[in-house]
Amino acid sequence: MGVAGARGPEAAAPAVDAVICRCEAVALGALVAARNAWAIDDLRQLKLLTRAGMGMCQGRVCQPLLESLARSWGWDPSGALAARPPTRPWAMGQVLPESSEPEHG
Amino acid sequence: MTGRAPQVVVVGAGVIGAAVTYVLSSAGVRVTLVDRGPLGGGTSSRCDGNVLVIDKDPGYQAEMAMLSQNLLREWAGDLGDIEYRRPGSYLALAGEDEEEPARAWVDAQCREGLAFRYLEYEETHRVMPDLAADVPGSVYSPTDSTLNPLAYVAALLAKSRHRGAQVRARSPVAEIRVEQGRAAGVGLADGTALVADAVVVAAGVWTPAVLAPLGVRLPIRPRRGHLVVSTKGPRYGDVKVMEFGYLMAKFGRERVVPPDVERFGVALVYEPTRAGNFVLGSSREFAGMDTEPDPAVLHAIVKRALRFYPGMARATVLRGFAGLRPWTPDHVPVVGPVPGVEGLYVAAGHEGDGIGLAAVTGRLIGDFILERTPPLPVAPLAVGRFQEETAEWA
Repeated sequence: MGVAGARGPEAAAPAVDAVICRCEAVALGALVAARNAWAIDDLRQLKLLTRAGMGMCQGRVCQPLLESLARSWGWDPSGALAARPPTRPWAMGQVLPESSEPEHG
Repeated sequence: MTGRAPQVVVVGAGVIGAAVTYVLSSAGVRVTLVDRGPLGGGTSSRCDGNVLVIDKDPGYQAEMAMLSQNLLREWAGDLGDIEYRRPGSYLALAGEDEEEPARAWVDAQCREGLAFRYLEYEETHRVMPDLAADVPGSVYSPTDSTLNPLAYVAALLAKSRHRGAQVRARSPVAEIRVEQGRAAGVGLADGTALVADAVVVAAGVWTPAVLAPLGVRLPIRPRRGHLVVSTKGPRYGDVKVMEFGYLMAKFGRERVVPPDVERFGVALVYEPTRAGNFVLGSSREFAGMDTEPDPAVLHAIVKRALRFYPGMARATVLRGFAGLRPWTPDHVPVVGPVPGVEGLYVAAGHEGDGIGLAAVTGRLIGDFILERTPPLPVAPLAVGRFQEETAEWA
């Protein structure tokens, strides 16, 4: 099921300016343009070249949309948006100073 | 190869294979590029975008890196937007004990004609006001450049396609076919046979596995490197900064560093990106083919960054990732013909310098295949130079 289908059959196709990734402000049109310009055929490549899914929320908001878009283009999205540690953004100031022993978290 | 355009198969669609394909297709060679996975899906999408001379040994390695920087500068106009910039780079000193070797490093590079400079305390802190107050000085290399690695790969491939190259992702190689001592082509796992006059193996850390069935052994090993990415937010200067410390090993001097820094081979790399984040590195470990990020290494990298940039305590880490750098025993890549198999070439083993050295590597492979004169001596890059090491590891 594509992005359009996710909203029901009577819904209009999403506009090219529909925002897919809010954190990095990536619209559908930018994803289509990147796919065409670079001949991308893989969701991880699309992510890395457009930054969709790479923002503050680490894809928590846009992952279903990106995966649905990938499937509508015939791509297998599995693993492409795999979470990267740390699972939550992490203040560098919380890290112990260098003189201490390394913590194994 | 006279009478018609030669036909070449390149194995490996990382930055090295992409650069080889770009050079060959621009010269009218018919190229088919194959990769077992997605394009640029290995080390070339798990790395930073450094194109550096500052960390190369004076002499041959620095000359090779300069050639690559100059080629890249020419290519950048053709490739479109790959976030290419030339901000220069700096090596920050961790202590006064590094001053003497740093000055010697600058002198050695200057004798080779490079425009390095040693920056005293005042100038160092004027250029990099966020550096810790106890950093005594720095080394500056004005030509060092940066780009977006995967955009570089994608642009090289897009241009190559326009020039007639065929690019096949997710097409694992089953065998490199050799007939009467000559490379004859490649058999893909799906049964497709690709006929070629020459085969170039540019498979990074996977190169030994691709060549092993031919009895060709290369001591290229995966050396894992971690990187940390910040959120968008405060930045700590627009220039690339590394620490002088990781060159100390080359001078045969011990680094006075905490145990985890030593254990994971951590050295500061700070790289601001165009997107408004910054990237922190680095680490170097032999850990097999595992790319799952190790939190202990990420911590060590962050701690090292805080030693040089105390203000980063206000910054936020968004993610960490790891890639496998194709290490060689002498830290020089393997670029050239395979002895005993005419028409078979290797372009691999660039460790952390694949992005920076891709252009010159593409040029050299083009020169071998088209029988042109290479722009620098090729003996230090030769496939056959590892007799002892390969015997040890065989």
